[in-house]
Parts: sequence; structure tokens; C-alpha cells
Amino acid sequence: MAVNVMYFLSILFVMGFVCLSAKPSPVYGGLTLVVSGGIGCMLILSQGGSFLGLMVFLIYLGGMMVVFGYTTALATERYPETWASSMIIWGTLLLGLIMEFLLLYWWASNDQIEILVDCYNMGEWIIYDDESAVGFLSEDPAGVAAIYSYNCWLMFVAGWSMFVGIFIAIEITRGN
Amino acid sequence: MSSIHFNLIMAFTISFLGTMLYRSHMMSTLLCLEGMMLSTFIFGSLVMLNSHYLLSFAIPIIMLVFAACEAAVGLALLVMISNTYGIDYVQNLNLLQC
Amino acid sequence: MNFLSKPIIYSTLIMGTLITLFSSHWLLMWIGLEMSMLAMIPIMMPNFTPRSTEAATKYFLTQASASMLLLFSIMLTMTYSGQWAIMQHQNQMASFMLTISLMMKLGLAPFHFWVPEVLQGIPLLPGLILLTWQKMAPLAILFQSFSTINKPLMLTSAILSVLLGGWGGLNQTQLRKIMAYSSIAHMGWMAAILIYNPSIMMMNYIIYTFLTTSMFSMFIMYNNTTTSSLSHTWNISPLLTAMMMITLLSLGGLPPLTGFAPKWLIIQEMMKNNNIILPTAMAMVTLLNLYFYMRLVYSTSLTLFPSKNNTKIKWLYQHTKHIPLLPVTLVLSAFLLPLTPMTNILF
Repeated sequence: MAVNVMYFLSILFVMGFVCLSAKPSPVYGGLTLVVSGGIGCMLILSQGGSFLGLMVFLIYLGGMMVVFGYTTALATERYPETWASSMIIWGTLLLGLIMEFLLLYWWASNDQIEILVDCYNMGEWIIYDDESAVGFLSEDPAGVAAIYSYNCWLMFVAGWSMFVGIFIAIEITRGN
Repeated sequence: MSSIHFNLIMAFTISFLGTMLYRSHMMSTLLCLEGMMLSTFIFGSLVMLNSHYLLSFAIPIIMLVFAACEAAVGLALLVMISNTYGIDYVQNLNLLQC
Repeated sequence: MNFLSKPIIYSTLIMGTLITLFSSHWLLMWIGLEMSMLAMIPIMMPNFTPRSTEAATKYFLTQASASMLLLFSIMLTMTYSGQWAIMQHQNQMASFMLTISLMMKLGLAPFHFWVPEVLQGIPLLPGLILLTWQKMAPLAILFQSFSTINKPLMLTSAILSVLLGGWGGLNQTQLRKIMAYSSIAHMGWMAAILIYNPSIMMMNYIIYTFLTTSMFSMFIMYNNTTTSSLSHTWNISPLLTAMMMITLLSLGGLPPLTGFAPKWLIIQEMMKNNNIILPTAMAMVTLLNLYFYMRLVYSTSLTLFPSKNNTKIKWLYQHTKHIPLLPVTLVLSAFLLPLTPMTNILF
């Protein structure tokens, strides 16, 4: 049963992306992206990646969407376009949805739906044995935390690019 | 390839097509870029969760960092454009057409 | 640019390309591309005009979507092979997406429309960086994964690039657009030889860098952006007009000059691989390129362009702008052909 829920979630995810790509007003686009991000978080959670799901929910929806909300508010208009307001958006939306359902039908008619049972799991657990205590840790916090030890140069590069990113954004907008 | 992976590839393709669509706001294009990033993130996390690559779990997070940098630069360009033209329509970007 | 942020941004530009060159891990390659792309944006808009903002935006949108495509193909490779190293046998779809994204980054033919537009909007020095340094990282990725690339896709793109690079430049009077179209055509030659012998592609890239650097250095020296301003060089510096003619002919690939060497080797290598029609077509289509170089040569150094009397004594004055790299690149872009046999040792 859980498998079917995940399957429908992924279909909802694609439908959210179709609504986003039809390019309505950015207000609605951002809303759809938030919804799709939430669904994507649930997809990751159902595969056992609780920490990665948390990351997507907090960083992506919390951080990024606030910034996008501000910028949308900066460049907003009085009557924003919805999906129903123009024939082009209607056409794109319908085309995308029809394409998605046709592909799903083709996929289902080839009897390839059962494979998704194989990739379902509840996550792995890691036993850690410290001097003071013994306990369990889910594998994805352990993997992400390895960025401090094994992947430290990757973290250095990522931190440097965020540092430079601030300089770049300031340099771009300095001409106003 | 499971059908969930298939759906994620579909989502990526659709938002790529949305990025290529030359219409209305540049903000929507940036949102579509973010959508590409989101679907890649989820695809990568699912692959790594399924195959239990412990040290590769950091890689989606690094991807998010670079997506944040890209979004910052894109929004800065958007602000410059909407300060110049008053609105961020992509049709306004026609000074350099050959 | 601010004196504090200038070294930071330029070092990121250099570091990004170097990370791509040195890494064998797909993710780090992507990171390097991303860093150099992000650092290029403020370099492209030093004076904040609407034109440069638009050029930077177009560059950003193209490169960002190309790098997202690259990232997704990396994820697909990871799904199918289970490792991050560059493999000899990739999944077909992933390899296809990889090739398309690198073609977008390099400005090869079906995706070449951004190159002239972006180059027209930015100053000359960022243009030089865009045409030479920024091509190095995608070419390095192609160099490392050349055996998995889909042959018909790459060859179609190559012949289209050579054709459109010659055809598009025919009607232009703006020097930067002409250089952009010449870059597209040279990229086409590089893409054609890539799947047969990537070392020759690297040699072609290096020689193209010498030629473009010397052309852009001469443009920078007198702030030339149009053909008519270029045609006044004869009363500023007569020696440079002759050198400009030689460099342009070398870009066109005429025999006693450097630019002939890569074309010669490429045609020879493709003949060895039983590919006759494609190099013939490319060599003939490159004549279009040669035509607009010849037009520049004609208006610059073969005619005395009419000018006012008080501008005719400009050569008396001492030059204030010195470009120390110019003599070296001029010599390299003119007289390197006798060293062609050495490429067997070098590569």
C-alpha cells in the first residue's frame, strides 16, 4: 500500500512541475514549487532519508522560498496571470498533463510497475561505539556528517563559493 | 529504473522545457531552474538512499549550496533588469539581437 | 570593480577551471564549471549598462541550464554505473545529455545563438576571457570522455557549426560579432576531430587561443569595435596593420602561417579514418570564414581609408597603452607552422 502512495506522490510531483513550467505569474509558480518541494520531501522520507528530507524542507522551502517571495513581491503586478488567464498557459498545461499521462500509460502497459516494490526500504541504521556510549544513528545523518571529515575539501570548496557568491551578487547590483 | 525514477526524470525534462520557454517573467525562468535543481536533488538522494552510499549523502547537500549561489546570482541579475526596465519580462531583453 | 572583490572573483574564475582540469570526479568537474561560470558574471558587467546586464543575463541563463543538464546526466551515470569516476562505457542517454550540455556551454551549432549576442554586449577584455579561458573547462571534460560521445551527434554539430560560423559572420560589421562567429567555426573544427583524436583538438584549442589573444590585444590597444574604426589603424600604427593582416590570414588557415597547422592535421586525421566527405565539406565551408576575414584585411591594410588630415600624424605620438603579451602572441600566431612535427612529441 505504501508503494502505491509513493507512486501517486511522484505523479503529483510531476503535475506540480507541469503547472510550474506553464509559467503563470511567479506568485503561483513559487506556490507550485513549494507544493512540489513538500511532495519531494515526502518521497525522500518514504525511502528512509529522514535527514535529507529535513534538509529539503528546511533549507529549500524555508530559506530559498523566503528569498524568492521577497523578489516576487519586488517585481509583482496588479493582476497576476493564473493558469486560466491565457490560452498559451492552458495549452501548455494540457499538453504537459496529456504527455505525462500518456507516458504513464505506456509505462504501465509494459508491466514495469512492479519494479518499484524493490526500491522500497525503511533506511539503514549505523551502530556507533564511542568510549562513553553505544547507540544507533540513521545512515543519512552519518553520511552528511562525513562532510566534516572525509569530504572536508568539498566543504571548503562549497564554503568558498558561497563566500564568493555574496561578492558576486554585491558586485552585480552595485551599479544601481 | 523504477517508475518513481522515471517520474523524476519526467519532472526534470518538463522543467527544462519550461526554462527554455521564451515567455513573460524572467522570475518564472529562475523558478524553473530551481525546479530542475529540486528534481535533480530528489533523484540523487533516492539513488543514494537505495544503494546506501554512505559518503555520497553529502553530495546532494553540496548541490543545494551551489543551487543557492546560482539563485543568488540570478536574483541579482533580475533586480538589475527590473531596475532598468521597471518589469522583468524576458521580451525586454532584445537590445543585442543579431 | 572594487579592489577587494577583484582578486577574489578573478581567482575564483581561475580556480574553477583548474578544479575541472584536475579532477576525475564528476561532481568536482561540475563544481569547477559552476564556479567559473558564476565568477564570469560580474566580470562581464563592469560598467552596468543595460547592454552588459542583458549579455550577462543571457550568458547566465544558458550556462545555468546547461550545467543543470550536466548535473542530471552525472546523476544518471551514477545511477547506472554506481561510481563517480569518468567511465569508458556510459549509459547512452546520460552520454547524450552530457554532450548536449557541453555543446550548450561551448556554443556549438544548434546552441550557438548566445555567443554573438553575449559577446556584442560586453567589453573587449571580458570577451577575450569568454572566448578563450571559459572554453577550456568544457573542452577538458570532452577530452576526458571522448570515447563515449555519440559520433553522429558530434559530427552533425561540427559541420553545422562550421557552416553557421561562416554564414552568420558574412553580414557583420561589428568586430566582436565577427570574432564570435569565427569562434563558432573553430569550435566546429574542434568538435569534428574530437571523436577521432582529442590531442589534435587540444592543439587546435591552444593555437586558436594564441590567434584570438593577438586579435583581441590589437583591438584592446586602440579600442576598436567596428570595421570602420579598425580601418583607421594605418595612421596610428602602420606596423600593426601588417601584423593584423597576417593574424587574420592565420585565423583563416592559410598555409605558411600557424592557423594552417590544425586544419591540416584535422583533415589528415579524418582522411585516415575513412571520412572523406565531411572534411571536404568543412574545408569548403570555411571559405566563407576566410571571406569575411579577407574583408577585414582589405579595409584595414590593403586600402588607405579616407581620413581627416589632422588624424594622419597620429603615428608620431608615443603609445600610451602597452600590452606586453602582444609581441609574443603575434609571433606565435604567425610563425608556428614549422614546429608542427613537434606536436607528435608534445601530445
